[in-house]
Parts: sequence; C-alpha cells; structure tokens
Amino acid sequence: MTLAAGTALAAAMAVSEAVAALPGIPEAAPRPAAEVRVQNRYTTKAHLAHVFAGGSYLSRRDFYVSPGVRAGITYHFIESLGVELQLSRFFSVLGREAVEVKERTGYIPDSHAPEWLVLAGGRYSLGYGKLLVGGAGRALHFEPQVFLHGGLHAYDGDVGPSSDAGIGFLVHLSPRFFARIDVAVTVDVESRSRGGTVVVGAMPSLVFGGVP
Amino acid sequence: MSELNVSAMAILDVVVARLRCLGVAAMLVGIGSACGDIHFVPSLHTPTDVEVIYSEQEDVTVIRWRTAAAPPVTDTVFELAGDNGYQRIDFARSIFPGGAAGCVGRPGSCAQYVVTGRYGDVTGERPVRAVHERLGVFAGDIARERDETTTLAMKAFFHPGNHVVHTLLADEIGGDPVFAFPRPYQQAMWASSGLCVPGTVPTDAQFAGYSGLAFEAPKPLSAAGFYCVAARTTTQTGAAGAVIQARVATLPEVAGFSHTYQPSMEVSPVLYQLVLDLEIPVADRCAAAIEGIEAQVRGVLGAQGAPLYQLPTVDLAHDENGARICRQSADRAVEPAVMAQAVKDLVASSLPERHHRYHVIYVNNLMVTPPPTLTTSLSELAEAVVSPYDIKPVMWVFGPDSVTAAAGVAWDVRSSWLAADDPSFEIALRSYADPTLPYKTEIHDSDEAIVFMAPGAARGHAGQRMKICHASPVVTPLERGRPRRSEIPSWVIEADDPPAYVVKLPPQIAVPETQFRQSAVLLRYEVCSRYCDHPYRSESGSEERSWMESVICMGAGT
Repeated sequence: MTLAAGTALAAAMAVSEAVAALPGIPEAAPRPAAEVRVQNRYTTKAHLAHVFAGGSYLSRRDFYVSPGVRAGITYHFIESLGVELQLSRFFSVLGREAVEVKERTGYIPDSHAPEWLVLAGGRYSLGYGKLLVGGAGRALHFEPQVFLHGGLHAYDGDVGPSSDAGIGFLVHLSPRFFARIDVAVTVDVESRSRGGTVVVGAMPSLVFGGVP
Repeated sequence: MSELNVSAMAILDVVVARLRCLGVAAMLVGIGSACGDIHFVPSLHTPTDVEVIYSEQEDVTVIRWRTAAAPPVTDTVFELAGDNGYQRIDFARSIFPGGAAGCVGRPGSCAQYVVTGRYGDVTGERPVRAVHERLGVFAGDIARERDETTTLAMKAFFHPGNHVVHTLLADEIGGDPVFAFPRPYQQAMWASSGLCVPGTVPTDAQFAGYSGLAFEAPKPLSAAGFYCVAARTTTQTGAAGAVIQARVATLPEVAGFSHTYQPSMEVSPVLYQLVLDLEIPVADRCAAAIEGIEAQVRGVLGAQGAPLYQLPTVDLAHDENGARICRQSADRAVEPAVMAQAVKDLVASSLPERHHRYHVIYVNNLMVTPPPTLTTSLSELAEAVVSPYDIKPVMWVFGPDSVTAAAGVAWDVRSSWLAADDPSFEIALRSYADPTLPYKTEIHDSDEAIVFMAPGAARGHAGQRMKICHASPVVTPLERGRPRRSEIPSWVIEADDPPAYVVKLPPQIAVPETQFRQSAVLLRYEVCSRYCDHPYRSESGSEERSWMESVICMGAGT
C-alpha cells in the first residue's frame, strides 16, 4: 500500500476511535491496537538500466501487415524518468486486398513496407501502485507511463524521420523482471509517388525485460 | 494469423483513420495534412508498356514490355497468357532474339518475345505477367496492339569508289532503338538490268551473313553497273526469314582536281627628273642646296623597292654658261620635246616593263608666280611624254603657295616649301612616295586561254568526262579556243584540246602599291572515268540523277 493510502487509513481509524468514545454509543468489541506502517516499494528503478525485448505491430493503413520485434534499453536517472533507445524490425507483407490488386493489375501501394525503426527518447512513470488481484494470491505492482521518441525509419528503401508517443503500462513481475505494454501513435515522413507524405499509425507492443 | 488478430488489426486501422481525420498528424509534426494518402502505382516488376505487334510481312508477332527493375532481372520470370492460362516464357524459344535486358537510353529493363504467326486478339487483355521469386505475381499492363505491314525494309547504295555496298536496314523487330535485340542478317547481290522483285531470287544467288551495314562489292563490276541487293534475317534456329530487295547502281567513278591561276605582276620602275628653279641670294649656297635636294629625292624614291632611274636634273637658274647661280630669269622655261624624248629613249632602250610613270619634280623657293613661259613649257612636257610605251607623267611641285597655285600646269602632287634646308621637304616626299610607289600592274589578257590541265594529263584522261565544280571568279570554258556551247555541264576531254578557259579580271594597271590586289582564279573540277550517267549524292547533299547532266559535283577528293 502506498504512503498516502496508509495515512488515510490511520486517519479513518482515529475518527472511528473518537466516535466510539462518545457517551451513549457502546463499543461493540474491544479492538486491537494498530500502528501506521508504510511499506517500501516492491522495486526501484533509479540509476538502473532496463533492457527489454518483445513483439509489436505497426498499423498505418498502408496495405501492409507489419508485425515486428523490438528490443531496447532504458536508463533511469531518477525513479520516474528514464531515457530510452529502441530498435524495431518489422516483417511486413502486403495485405490481402493489395495482393489481389497486384495480381489483377500489377499495381501496388506507393507506401513502403515497414522494415527498420530506430527511436530514442524519454519515458516517464506517472505513479506507482499495487493491486491485490483476487484469486491470484498476490499483489500486482504496476506503473502507468508515458513516452515520447524520435528517430529514423528505413522502409523498403525509404529513409526518413519518425517519431512516436503513447502510454505504457509496466508490471513488475519480480523485483528484477517486468513486462510492459505500450500503445503508441507513430508519425513517419515517407517519400511516396507524389512526394513527402506524413503518415500516422498506431503501434502496440508487449515487451519483457529486466535489470541486467 | 488468427481471426482474433485480424479483428484487432482492423480496429487499429479504424483508429488510425479517425486520427487522420482529426488532423493529428498536422498537429504533431506541423507538416502539411497529407496524412498518408496512398496511390497504387506499378511496381518495379510490373510489366508495363506491353505491346503486341503483328508483322504482316514476316508473319510473326512481337510482344514487348518494360519493367522498372534494373537488369538483370534474374529474380523474375515472365508468363504469357495462352490457351492453358499463363505459361512461363522461355526466351530461348523466341523466333528472333528476345529476352529481358537493359533498355537503350532509358532506365529499367526491356523484354521482347517473338512468336510465329498472329498471337491473337489481346484487346483489353493483360497477356504478360511477372512472377517475382519473393514477391509473387504482378499482372502486366493492358496490351496495345498494332499491325505492321512492313517490319523490315532496306535502302542500298555503293560507297564512293564502288568497292563497298552499304545497306540501311529499317528493322522494326531487330533494330528498335530502345529494345536492343539485334537479329542476324544475310545478303546476296547479283547484276540486273531490270527490276528487283521482292521474293524473287535467282537460284544461283548466294546469301552470306553480314553486319547489316555494309559488305564488299563484287569484283569485277559489271559494265552496266546495275545490281539487285537482297537481305534477309534468320531465326534463332537458323531458318531463313523474309527476303527484301533493293536496286543499286554503281556511283560515278570520279576524281577531283583543283587549279589556281594567278596573273603575273609587273613593278613599274621609278623614273624621275628634277626641275630646279631656285632663287638664293648667297651664291655660295646654291650648289649645296641643289645637291641637298637631289640627295633627298634620290634617297626617298630609291627606297621604294623598285628600280630607280634619274633623268638629268634641269637647273633653270643658271647663267648663260650653264653655271649654277640660283638666280631666276624672267623668261625661263624647260625644253619639253628634249626632255620627253630622253624619257622615251630610256624606256625604249633599257626598260622592258609595259607601264611607266615619269615623275617631274619642280622645285621653286621664290614667293613669286612662275612666268607663263615656264608653266606653258611644263604643261607641254606632260603632253609630250605620252607614247605607245604607256608613259604617264606625274607632276610634282614644291614651293610657296604662289607657285603651287600657279595656273597652267595640272599638278598631281603639291607641297608647300620655302627653303632648301626645310625638313618638311623630305617628309612631304615620303608622304606621297611611301604609300604610292612603286606602281604595280597585273598582266592579264581576258581573251587569252588559260590551260588548266597539262597536255600530258589531258592525254591520260582523253575520252573521259569532266566538269567544272566551282570557279571564282566565273570562267568561260573553251572548246578549241572558243567558248564552249553545250547543253550539259560536262564534256569529253580531248588529247589535242587540253581543257582551258578565259576569265575576266578587274584591270590593275600602274596601281599604287597600297591599292594593288593580287587576283587569283580558283577552279575545282572533276573527271569521271566510269558510270558517269549514274545517280549519286552530290557534295551539297542533294540526290542527283546523273553526274554528266548535273552541274553539282560529287565532291571527290583529289
């Protein structure tokens, strides 16, 4: 439980004792004396690096199906803020509709099949919490995060700037290992048949990592 | 991929589309609002510009297409639609050379495949498609179809000298400027006085392979010099293709010559005579003044690059004994008859030139108008020297204005002068002499025949034809000494009448040196030894029917 939650509980108990002490309202049963305690964080990140790897999917409405893998490293200057470098490799194939068009007309979309994406930026933890999951028998330690990255893409011969921003949900599996789900909005500047084009996409990912 | 995953992706796609509609991209990066518009375009491997060309002449169909992929396209095979669907194209089975290779002058690859007969109606169809080993099938463009009556045509002509025959083949199948799939050619040639009929080849005609550009002419050439040239292609299996023919005529066998005529030039000698009419009060200075004047005149006129002849100085200011006293008398005069005769005698005896100028230099330092006796005698002298020797006087006067302005003599050169030691005397002499002397004459008779082919050469070319290609200035060819009258510009060379002409040149007789221009006649002509009535391409590029009847030459070298 967090410090704030513990303080609130202590205050509630004090109020309850005060009410019970009022004349005319009998104490139902004697209660044991309890002291307020603040539990330490399950784990900390400050001055530690996290390495991670996992899978992602890039959707840009570009007629390509682009699943990929991702790996990276995050170094936390302080508990809530870290800098991050990540590399993604997509294994894009033409979608079913585009394949049909290609085989009927020989034409393909002028978008480039995503291949490589390298991004660097920052990641900020909004808070820290734990949740007792019923039936699991243990608490879930988690951190909601936001992130912002910029970098370059290399998509089937096209090299250009890219960036992403989004929210993340990091779950500490153990003090040393974690899992994280990111949902990002991506922006690429890509060269197409009619010139440079801004392409917006979405990129969910699931990675697992830990402290090396 | 599972249905669940597909659905999740579809949801993501919808989300992205919504974001695009909100202009999120523009807000995020501040760049335009293109938002990822997608256009379908031909891929690198898509067969484009598909053409199906049927040749009626050769009864084959040529199928051509291009791809944007750079050669070699080893990762792609092509398929052709047939009765059993698309079948892989084996370029080795193309009737004429085919394949997929680099386009000439354009990026990408160009492919050609040739089949026998008419391929079939392909209107609105996509007869060709590509199959990439990794990316799969790419349909080709809708084909453009056309029929060609002639896909192989030829022009043939002899090279000057008639040793080589050139052929210009217009080959739609093997000679396309972009699709470079040259096919082999064979040629045959036979003498023919008649027409060359396509498809009709003499049984003894022998076809031999050649480059399609040129081959060696038969030896010896026939007397008439007319031939049929046949050309054909061969298939990849070695079978003979369609035969085309062209009629060729040997070119006139011509040699070019040039001739330059420059008339001879004559330099007129400088003839001069001093007439001194001095008035010097100090008698001792008289002789020195006279000698000084004579020396200065001799020095200036003697430096003009022409023979100098001085006639005896006439001293009008002497006493009765002939002594030089530089004292003018009132009735002084020259002796025109004696002086003129002396000039004529000199010319007749010693000077072979045809044209002469006789300079009479009268010098007077007294500011008094000369007496009429003197001016009259000088005027008579000018008239007296005129003779069959073409002697013309040039009258000079040096003296005060009262002397140079005196009436009675037509002075050619006037110069102010006052004293014997006046330095302007020599300057005045030079100002006239330097740009004028010597006089030059061009010796030319416009009625005199100028032979421009040596008698020996005329004997060697006897019986051959010749014509003048260019003459500057215009000349009049002669035939036995008279202007040649002929309806055609060429004529037969006769050994006893070497080619000659007459020419009119601007006369230049005793012209001051700086105005003299040496004339020259430049003549270029050709001599034809064989096939002179045959057509040819002229030196100006025009097609002429007959060398002997055309005024324009072939431009043969000497």
